[in-house]
This record gives sequence, C-alpha cells and structure tokens, in this order.
Amino acid sequence: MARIWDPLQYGWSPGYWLTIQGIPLLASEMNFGLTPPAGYTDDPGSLVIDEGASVGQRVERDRGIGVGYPLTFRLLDTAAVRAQIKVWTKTAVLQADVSAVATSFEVDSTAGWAPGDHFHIGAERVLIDALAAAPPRFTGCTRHVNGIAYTHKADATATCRITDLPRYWLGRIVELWALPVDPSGYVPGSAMTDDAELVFHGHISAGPDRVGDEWQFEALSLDRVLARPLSSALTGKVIDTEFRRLALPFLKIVYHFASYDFAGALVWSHDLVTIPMATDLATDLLSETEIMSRISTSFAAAAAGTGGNVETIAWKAVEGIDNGQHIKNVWMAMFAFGTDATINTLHTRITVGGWVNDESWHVGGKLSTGIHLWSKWCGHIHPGSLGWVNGPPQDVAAVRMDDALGADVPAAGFAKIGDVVYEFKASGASNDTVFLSGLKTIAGQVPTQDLTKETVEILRTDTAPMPDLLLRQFMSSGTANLRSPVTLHDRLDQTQGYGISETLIHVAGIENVCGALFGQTPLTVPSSGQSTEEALCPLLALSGRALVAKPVDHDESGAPDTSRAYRISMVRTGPSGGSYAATITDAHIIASDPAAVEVRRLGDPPTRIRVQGQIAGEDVAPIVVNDKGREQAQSPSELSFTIPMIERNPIVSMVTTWARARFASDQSAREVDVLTVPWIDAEIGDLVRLTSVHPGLVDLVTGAAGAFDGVARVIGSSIMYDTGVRRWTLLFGGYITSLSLCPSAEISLASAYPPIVNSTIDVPFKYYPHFAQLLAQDGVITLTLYDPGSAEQVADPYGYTFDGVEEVAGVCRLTVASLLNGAEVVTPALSRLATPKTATATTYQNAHLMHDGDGTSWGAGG
Amino acid sequence: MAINSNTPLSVVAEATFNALPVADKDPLLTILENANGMYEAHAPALISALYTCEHLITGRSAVFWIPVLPSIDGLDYDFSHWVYGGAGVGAVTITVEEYIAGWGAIHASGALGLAAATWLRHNHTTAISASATILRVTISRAAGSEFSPSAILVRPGTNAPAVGVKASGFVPFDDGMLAVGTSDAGINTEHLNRGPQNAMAILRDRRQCVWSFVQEYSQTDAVYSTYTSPLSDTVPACFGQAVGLIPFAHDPVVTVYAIGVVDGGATTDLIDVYQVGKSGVKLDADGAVQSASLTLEMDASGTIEARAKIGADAACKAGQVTHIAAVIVLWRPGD
Repeated sequence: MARIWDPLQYGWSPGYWLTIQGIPLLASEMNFGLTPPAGYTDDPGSLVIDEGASVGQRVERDRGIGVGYPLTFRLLDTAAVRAQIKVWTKTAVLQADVSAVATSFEVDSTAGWAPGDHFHIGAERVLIDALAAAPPRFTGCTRHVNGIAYTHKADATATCRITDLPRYWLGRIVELWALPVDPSGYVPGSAMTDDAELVFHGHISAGPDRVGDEWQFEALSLDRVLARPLSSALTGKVIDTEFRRLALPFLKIVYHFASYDFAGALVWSHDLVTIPMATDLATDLLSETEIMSRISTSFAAAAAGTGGNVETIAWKAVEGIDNGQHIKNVWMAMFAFGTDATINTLHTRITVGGWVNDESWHVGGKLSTGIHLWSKWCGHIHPGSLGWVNGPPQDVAAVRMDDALGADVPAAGFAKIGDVVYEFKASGASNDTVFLSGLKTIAGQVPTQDLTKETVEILRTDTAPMPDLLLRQFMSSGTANLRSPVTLHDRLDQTQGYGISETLIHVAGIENVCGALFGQTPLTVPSSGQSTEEALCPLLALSGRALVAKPVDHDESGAPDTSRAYRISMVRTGPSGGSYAATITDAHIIASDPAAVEVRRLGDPPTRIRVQGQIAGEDVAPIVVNDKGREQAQSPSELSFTIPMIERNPIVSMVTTWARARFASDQSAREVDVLTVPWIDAEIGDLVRLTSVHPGLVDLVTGAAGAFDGVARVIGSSIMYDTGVRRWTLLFGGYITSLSLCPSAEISLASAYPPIVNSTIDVPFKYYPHFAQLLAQDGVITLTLYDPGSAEQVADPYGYTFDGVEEVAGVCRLTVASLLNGAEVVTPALSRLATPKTATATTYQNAHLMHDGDGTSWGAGG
Repeated sequence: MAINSNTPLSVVAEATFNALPVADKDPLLTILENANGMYEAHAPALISALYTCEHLITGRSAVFWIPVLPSIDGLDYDFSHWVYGGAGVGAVTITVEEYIAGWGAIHASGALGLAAATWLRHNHTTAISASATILRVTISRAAGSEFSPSAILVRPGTNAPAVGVKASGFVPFDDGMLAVGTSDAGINTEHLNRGPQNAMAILRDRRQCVWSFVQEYSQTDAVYSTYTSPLSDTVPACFGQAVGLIPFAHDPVVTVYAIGVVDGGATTDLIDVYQVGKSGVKLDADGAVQSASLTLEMDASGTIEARAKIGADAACKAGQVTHIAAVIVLWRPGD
C-alpha cells in the first residue's frame, strides 16, 4: 500500500474514486480531469468517504482468516445517482437456464424492451442487441457490462426476474481506488487508471440508505466473502430401498445351444451373442425388472435367427443355495425350444462377462414347443449387476427431493442419511426422485438398518490437496474456467464456489504458503452449507496460517509482484520468520498521539488443543494435546478446531507438533499497536523490523526496556483515509530457540566454467534475501560447493567467497571474489552452494543457521 | 566420506523428532542412509508368474514372452525359475533374452542337472536394460526327458547406490558433509528434502506386478487359444481370472501390458483385460507389447486386504485363432 502513500511525505494527498458492479456510474471525490475507464460515466464530486473509519484488516489467528474492516461511503443525491437508485420500469422473467457465456436469454415476454437496452439479472448487467420471438428472447447480448458474468438459472416459480435498473444492491462488488493529488490539486496522467491503486475491494452489505440528503452504503472486505456459507445441501427423504443397479453397457451375454440325436450326432447348434444394455449409459440405474426385460428383448432378437430351434427366455424367482448361502430370489432363466422328436440331449452354455454356466439336459426325443429347460442365472459372479437379492437390498436408497433439484445431485459423493454420512458410488435422477447406490459408511460398511423415511442431505464435496481445495472454492462459478482462464481452478458446481476471478487471488502466494500443508495429500471437504472460513480456515489456524486480502507486492519466494493488486492471499501468523519487509523506527511513529504505542498481552493462551477431524463432515476420533505443566497451575482452557481429513493417522503427528509450537510461543508473545505515517512499505502478514526506544517495548530475550530492536509479524493493518494515519498491530516475542536451515542453492548458470574471480553464478531468486543479509552483515559471502550424489565436499575450505549479490532478470546473481580451493568443476542444475563448515563460517551463519553438531547454531565464536 | 546404506533400515522413532527443538544431524544422517538402504533393498516383483503350459513337455523347448517395464536405472534383477522334471535325467537349460530393438541374450544357464520327479530352482542375478520391453525365457531339456515350466519371479537385486544422480531421480547420499572429519557442516535444505525425494524416486521407478497370465508364445504349443475354447470362434474366451492385491490402495490406476497373437486377419481390440464386473481395456493382438491404463475399484478399499478380481479374455475374427501369450499388470505407489 505504500506506493500511493509515498508522496504524502512531500505534501501530496490522496483522492478517491469508486465503482459498483453492474452500475455504469463512476463516483469520484472531485473532478480529476481524467478519462474514466471504458463503459463508465464520471460523476465528479458524488463520492463521500470522509465519514468512513479506518479501512484495513486484522488476522484472527485462531480462525485462520483476516477480518477486513468495512468501508462506509456515501453518494450525493445527484441526478446520475438518482437515475440508478430509482425503481425499474421494464421487466421480464427468465425462462431457461443461461450459461455465463451464452448470448441469448429466453424470457416470458420482450414487450417494452428495445435493442440497445441494458438489463440487470442478478448482479450482472447485459446489453441487448436484438429481440426475437417464438420463444421470446433477447439475442446477441453483450455480457458482463461493468462487471463479471454469471450462470443464471431459471426457476419454475418465475423468481429469476430481469429488470432495466438494479433490483438490489447487496452483494455487488465495490472497488475503491486512490489517486495521488499534488499540493496544487493537479493529478498526473490522462486516465483515471494511470496511477490509481486499488485500496479496497469488497461487497455491499447495506444500502442504499437515506442519511440526510445522501445515500449511504456499507461494504465488507473481499475476505468477508469467504465467511459466506456456500449453497445449502440438497435435501430429501428416503422413500424406499428397492433394488437398482448400475447398467453395464458393455456386458456381453453369450448363449450356446447344441442338440444331439440318439446316435450322438449334432443336430443343430446356435451361438447367440447379445449385449442387452448396449443402449444404456454406465450411470443409468436399472431395477431387476428392467434388467431382465433388456435381457429378454435382446435374447428374442438373437433367437429369431435360429429358424425356430430356439424360441424364448422366461424368468422365475426361486430360493436356493449359492456359494453356501441360502439365497432368496434366485432368478432362473427358462429357455423354450421348437419341437423336434429326433433330439435326445441338449447342451446349454451361458457366458456372462466371463462366467460360464454349463449344463446338459436329457430330453429323450420329447423336445417340443414350450418345453422349458432351467438354467440357474449365473449372476453370483456379478453381484453388483445381475442375479440375486440376498434379503432386502442394503446399499441403495430412493430419495424424494424436497426442492425438485434431482438433476443437481452429483454422480458420486456423500449423503447424510439420518445421522450417518454415507458415500455413494453412483446416482441417477428421475423427476424429483434420486436413486443412490453403492452406499457405504466412511468405515466401509453397508447400511445395517432400514433407511426408509430417513431424512437425506446430499453433500457436495471436493477432494484435493489443500491449496487446490481453497482455490477451487474461491473461483468455481459453475462454468468451467470462467473465472480461471489461466490457472484452471474454476471447475466445481456453481453452488460449490464463490466465483471470484483469479485476478483477485494470489495463487502463487497461496500455493507457496499452503503447499507444505500435507504436501499433495488430498483432503475431502463438504462444501454444502459451509463457508471457507468454517470448513478450511481452522486447519490454517492450527498450522499458523491465515487467508487475508491485501495488496500483493511480492510472492512467498520473495520475487517482486509489481502489479500490487488487491488479492486474497495467505500469510503466516507466527511471530518469527525470515527476512523482514520494512523497518519501523521512532521517526515513523506519530509522537503526538499518547496512544501511539500500546502493548498488550495475547488472550489467555490455551492449555489444551482439541482437533476434531471430519471425513466428509463425519466426525472421527478427536486428537487432544495438553500443556500438562500449565494445567497444574491453572484451570484448563481449551482451544478447539474442526478440520477435514481423509485418514486420521497421518494427521496426528502434525497436529501434535503444531500444538506444541503454539503452547511454547504463546506464553511470551505480545501484541503492540503502533500508529505511524502511512508510507511504510509492508502489508498484513509481513514481518517488519521494529526499532524503538519506547519504554513500553521490552525485549523479552534480554529483558531490556526502551531499547527494542526485533522483528514482529503484522497481524493488523488499517489506515484512516482522511488523516492517513496508519495503525499497525504487531505480534512479537513468543521466542523459542529456532534456527533456520542452511540454504542450499542450486546453480543454474555460471558466466565461466569453471568459475574464476569476477565470474558470476546464478541461483534461484528465493536465496536473494538470505545472501543479501549475509553480505550486509559480514561484508563477504562464503559458500561451499558440492554436487549431490557425488563425493560431497572433499576439502574444507572448498568453494568461493562472493562480494556481490543482486537480482537480475528474476535470479539471484552472485559475483565471485575468490576461490577457496582453486578452480572447481561446476555443473548447472546439479552443483549447489551451501553455507560452509566451521573453519570458514560467518557471523550471520553463526547466529542464525543450524549446524550438524547438535542442531544448534555455530554460536558467536563459530 | 562414503556412500553408506542402512540395510536393514534403521527406523527413526517419531519421538526423536518431537524431542528436538530443531533438526539435528543424527536423524537426518540416518534418514538419508535409510534412503540409500532403500535403493539397495526395495525389491517389489517386476514379474511374478505361474506359467500356464502343457504338463511334462518333451522333445521341444518352452518359450515364453513376458512384457516388462524395468527400472530406468538399469538395475540388476534377481531371477528365480522353477521347473519340474518328469521322466528322464537330461540336463535343463534356461536362457533369458531381452528385447530392445532386437533380441539380446542376458543370461544362459548352461546345463542344469534335474533328477526325475524333482524340482529345479535356478537363481541368477542379471541386469535388465532400462529400455527393454520384453523378456523371452526359453526352457529346454535334453530329448527324451520330460519337464514342466512352473514359475518365474523377477525382482530387483541388491543394487548399492553408486556415485552419480540416477535416471530415476535418486541422488545417492555421501556423508562427506554430515559425518566426516571435523564435521560442523550446515544442515541444509537440500539434505532435508533429499530423503523423501529419494524414497519417492525409488517407489515410482520400480513397478510392482499385481496380476499375471503367461503361456507359451507359440500358438501351437499354447494351452489356451480361442480355437481350443469350447465356444465358437466368434465368441470371446475367458483365459483366466484371479485376484490381484494392492494393500491399502484406493482406486489405483494400474497399467496392463499384453502380448497377443493371431494366426491371421485383423488384430484390433481382440484382447480384453478387465476387472470382473467393472471396467476393462481392449488391446490389439498384434504380437507386440500393447498397454493401457485401468482404474481398479478395490474391494475392501484402503485396507490391507484391498483387492480386485481381474480377468483376461480374447476374441477372434471369423476363421482365425487368437491366443494370449502374456498379460502383466503393473502398479507403482502413487498411481
């Protein structure tokens, strides 16, 4: 945020303008004399934000999310504003679903509308190119004018109404932009976007309300969207548990019939090859009656070519023994043949998908039309498809849906029936009834009780590694990749995501900070009726991370991001870390304010951390970690989290480690609020270096007061838009003995092979902060060279010293000052530079990095 | 400074990590040498097959073609061949060839003694080239003596990790920085990452045989073909069904490798390898190795008993005969 605030120290001031999604009006504080963005009309002077308090946010460490402060703004009652707020005059009702890219809208009537009109549907504004009849519709439409496109669903109750002016304002996106205004009132540039910086992105939560003679709105920050529950679960009731099975479109049934006369000579034989469910889809659910009907039909078609030797197939349910079990409803296939007195024996062989049932029958010249030879149906090899029913079916349920949205039920997923969560392998819908099959509990058991009349919630779920879960929830819109043409995370149903554009999400930051959470281990999370904050943020909180919305100035690897766009990102919330983003000194603190530095302790640290794991919303055994020593001294206080998982065991050790880290650091951690000038270049989640002689600040390592010089985590940041005063909430202390792993930087390129004095060696940019600080502290960088997989370091010292480090074209470039052991072979993409052994260790290394003696640092003496 | 391997593995107790405030050399050194040990010792069967063939063969050799996808590191493999001897005392010879662009011998047993009505187990350690696609095993016995090829087991032998990054991605760990001399080297990020990365490289490189069916390559000598099926030659014949086990697997994706042969005519999609009652893949019977991926829906999914019943069928065109010489189903962790 510092860029727009930098000029304030030279007498400049900020000026603001604001847009609202779907509204072609651009409200600004003053006449900037600049060209507004395409599609907008500037209404100079109509924006009032001075009444607003500070804008910013604070990380809720125990919730794993940043909570942005709301923005309050007012619009003057100008003619342009009034024209948008008044009641609409034209209306129509959507008649058919519309995708986010479709250009035709079928409506009940186009009466009163004309080409060139705009209409509002949901939060989207659309331009009509033409009208058409039969059915009435708007065609050639230009989508997402002044905003973004959505998928729109028609509803039988005619609730999706189209109007020529906004029906509602709640939920619309608000963007507040700041421009630098020089002391004479001049704004540089020619367009309003030239030097503007987005300082707030959120959604209207209240308004327009008449306050005095103005219209007042309130907007919640972008991150607050993530507290909005996603669509509620589809609900219904089990109406029966009749037997239905997935169709097997490729199942081949082969019938071989052969007849022999009294001399044993073959009279006739026929091979009938049938694929009875060839026209069904693999996802179709069929009852037993339907399956047998298909078999009969296909058999009859094949038998027609036997010249009357083979006639029909019929079915009879009997009881019997199969594989040692007493079975009800064994379906017996009964075949009928044409009359032929010369036949003494018949041989039948039925092959169903590889299973063979082979039988011979003695008929003794009595074969006549209508005789039935039984062949027990060989379904027991396909218990999931054909054959017998062993008592009432246990793994199916027919569900009457409450809201007639059966088609929205996912093909496979999870359903809560009664109080138990079941996974279902397949589903099929017919009108308002949905058939679920392959029901098993999370533990893999089929239902043991009759499910009829139980209530059902169809849970929409997603299974993926943690970063992907988050990114899919953020972006999914119901239209594949509508919101994510680059990152391709928009892939879930409309009801499973917030439909946030990828340009508002710091994908690299989330993947980098979150990537280490279980690696690629997938989690299953229900996305029905829960918000991201409820479903996923507890896991982030537990692991010392949080989602925030902030201007992004660099990614987690340290590479600069010059766009500085306001985006949802992820930050760490612990008080310690690597390099810091900025320094706050006494010179920055607003000395005139007696409350400029206020230190307070954290809330009561927990003595017990309880983690309730859920697999698709179903509780598993909790994990509890206690701070026993502290419990002896005081009453227990519990901090609890509910997190998604697929298996419990891999999570236990991680939870234990996170809990211990929390116990250890919270005892001595402190928060401090600091009021400063606005141009300090740091954002929420960053580390800053705080250097102050304020007596309230105590260095808990040395115990010294009034001489604080240490790093602190920014967990809150806000700015008063009228005064420019910035309030920082910093987390510091909480020190535990913690050292960094030594860097091991892979060499990507050298300017000479082998490198010599003044050669340059390139390594990934992420090592730049390390090496820059090392050079700043020691005046020289000493690094050892080794090739993984080969003899690693044959001598000591071995490698190079460097006297230069710079960022060049996205890499960290080191300049060789000397060779420690003569010329050495360097292989790009293999050779590495790491911190050296004791003999050549440096001050920085001694203080901050681990060595292999006992895991501690080299210490001051090396 | 040396590349040492922990064989057997030295398991680091979880408590070791919990007790440490920061990473330490000792568990890290052990972990890295465990990964070296894993390179030596991890030996899932590449081929585990019972031959389907005529009992008590005499007067000819038995020749088997078996698809393989060996380690990309060109590892040594331990072979075991089991042969039953019927009447006669003639010597047995076993040769193994690998196919790359052509056949090349990789093992010749010489004369192996086998008494009447006894079993022979012949072991040898032989490298399989990384690019080999088929192994051809030829078993012979002197004329007049009977033999029954029974089984073959091929799995990675003891392969001590030598210097240099391997094609599989495995990076041998040399203790020069962590355990030699004055020590005091840094605990660096690459060393910490190398252990799990090496483990993954090994697991992903060494395929594991889940299911197999192998009979003689010659249609004349093979026991089963569509011709020998009691069904007519227009009907698919089931060559075999058996249960494959992949403990703890959830819906694993296996790769089916098959060699099928016809005596003439079209070859397309004549072989069907499937999970019984579930999905399957169709492969050509053109005499070459054909492969396809198949996702299994495991019974007892996720448990130690996770299993799937797999079958292989073959069909033939009118007037032609198809036979399956071999089907090997391979899996690797992560698929």
